Amino acid sequence: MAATRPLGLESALDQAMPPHVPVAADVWRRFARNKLSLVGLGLVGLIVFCAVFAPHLTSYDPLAIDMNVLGTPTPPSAQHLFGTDVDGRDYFSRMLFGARISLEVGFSAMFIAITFGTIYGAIAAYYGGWVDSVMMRFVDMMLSFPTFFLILTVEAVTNNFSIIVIMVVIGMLSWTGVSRLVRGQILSLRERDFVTAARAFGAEDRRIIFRHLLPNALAPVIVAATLAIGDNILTESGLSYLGLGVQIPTPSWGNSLQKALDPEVLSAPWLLVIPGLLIVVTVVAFNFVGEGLRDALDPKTRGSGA
Amino acid sequence: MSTYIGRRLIGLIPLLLGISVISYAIMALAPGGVGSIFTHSARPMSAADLAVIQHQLGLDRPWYVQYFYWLHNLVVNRDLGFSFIDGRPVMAKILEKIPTTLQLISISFICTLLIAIPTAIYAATHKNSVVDYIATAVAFIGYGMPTFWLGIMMLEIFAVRLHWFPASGLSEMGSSGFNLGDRIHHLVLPVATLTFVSLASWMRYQRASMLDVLGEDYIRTAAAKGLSPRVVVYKHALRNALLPVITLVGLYLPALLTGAYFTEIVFSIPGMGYLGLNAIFERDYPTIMGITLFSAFLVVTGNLLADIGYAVADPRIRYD
Repeated sequence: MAATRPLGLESALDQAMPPHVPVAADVWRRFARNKLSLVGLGLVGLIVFCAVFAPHLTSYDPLAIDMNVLGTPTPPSAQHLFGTDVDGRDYFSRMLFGARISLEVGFSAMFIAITFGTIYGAIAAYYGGWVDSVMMRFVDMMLSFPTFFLILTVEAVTNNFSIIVIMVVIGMLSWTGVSRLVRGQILSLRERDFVTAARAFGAEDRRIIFRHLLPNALAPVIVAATLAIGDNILTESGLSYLGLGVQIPTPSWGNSLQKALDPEVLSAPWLLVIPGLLIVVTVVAFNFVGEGLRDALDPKTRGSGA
Repeated sequence: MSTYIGRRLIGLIPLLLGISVISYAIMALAPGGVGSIFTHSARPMSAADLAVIQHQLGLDRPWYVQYFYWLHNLVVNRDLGFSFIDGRPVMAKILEKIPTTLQLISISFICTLLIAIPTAIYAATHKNSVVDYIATAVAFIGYGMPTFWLGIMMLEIFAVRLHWFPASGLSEMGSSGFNLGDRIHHLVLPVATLTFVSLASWMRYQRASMLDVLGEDYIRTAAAKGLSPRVVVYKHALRNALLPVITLVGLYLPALLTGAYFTEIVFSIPGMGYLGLNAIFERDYPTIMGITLFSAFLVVTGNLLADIGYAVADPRIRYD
């Protein structure tokens, strides 16, 4: 059908139509071309599986203390896959339940940051002018804070270490990058003909932003969201290591390292190596998936390789 | 150029004011408020005594009034108030810690650049070589690694097991005066930690920038007219590939500061991070405020220097 159209009309239509959003099968084909992304996806799947089915994968309660080994960590064995920690608790089940915490915080904080950042960036870009200037100066200001220190301060002053508070604090202080990203995308889409057409039909601002602009700016946001999960897991582990995040005895990868410099722990290297490796593998896995999605969704590389 | 720098310097004022208002508001609006430190202490005081102390410290006034007193004191007397814990001036406490943190940051930063830039150039000019793969792997792992964990592992392996380096502090216990060899010996592990986690961003960014430049027409022209690959890479490509990286200096500073704070905490180095964490645990609000402001000041200054560096290095950019 397209071939019968005169050339001029074809390119005019191209101009007026929203950018081509690749369909799922197309994205998957290009995503699967990269082996590292597949490895990342497999690892993410495994970690999510372990977190979801944690109670079924271990017979030990992560909080239960075995008085026989209290104070002297036992090395990994058939009974205790990852050994036991200084307080005589099974380290394997603590790591499993720690995965739960990390993913809960990683995903929830990401949702908060992405939702807020997207709406913020979209409003700034759509209205432009002084609204945009004021909103983006505020983002500049937030970017000048060493965010982690600010998160620490907020955690310390609220003095509330429930997981919900940790998620909200991390989420509310990490949206600035997304808001810049969405703003840039929307600024470039705002003047396109399909938006002008929608406006000419009398669509309200809200409809134009949510129906026409945001869906077309989605691809980079998905990539940023995937990478943000890894960042949030790192932030949570840092907070918990310092004692300002997930509180002992609730198991978390970060707070398992709190007593890392005690002599009993330094003489039990598995207590140090395992949580750190889990953090690294998880964050790297999410980054692999994010990079793979970037290549698969980026219109610039589309159609080049195949 | 000087007009540009002057304008940027004036632009810093509202930025720093905004930062100070936000951090002040966060602390003042906290549940329990600034005064809660006195009711939570080991020897709780009577309500009447508490009221007297709060009045003395000005804590019974609304937070924005407190803020203006704080700001007035800072601008007129260059005074950030007194620490709640030991009563010493916050300004003095911070100024004596800053050199330590800056020393750690600058040495690590130089090491990062010395490793990252040559590696990235090699990786970009030898795409898909072994070096390229190793550099990419190191970058991914370094990016996913918590700074504090790397520090702990370094400490466990090189200080506790092998006894090659000291585990904490900046100088030998009981030693007096400054000893360069001793200082270097103490700095090896912290600097290695901070350098490794920083390498990731720099190698990836520099490699991407180099690849972009190598695809440009003027590089093909230079190669086509018979210049040696060496001249093309180092004279034509590198200078242009370094330009966008200057911007990264500014963007990367907050992360570098955070990394330095963690490194200080793991290796018990008495710098700003160590001071800040203790202040947070002890709810020493004047000190927390001071450190937040100084950190932001470092970041903003770094951004400004990066922008000026960019303007100096790139003749295409003129801000008049």
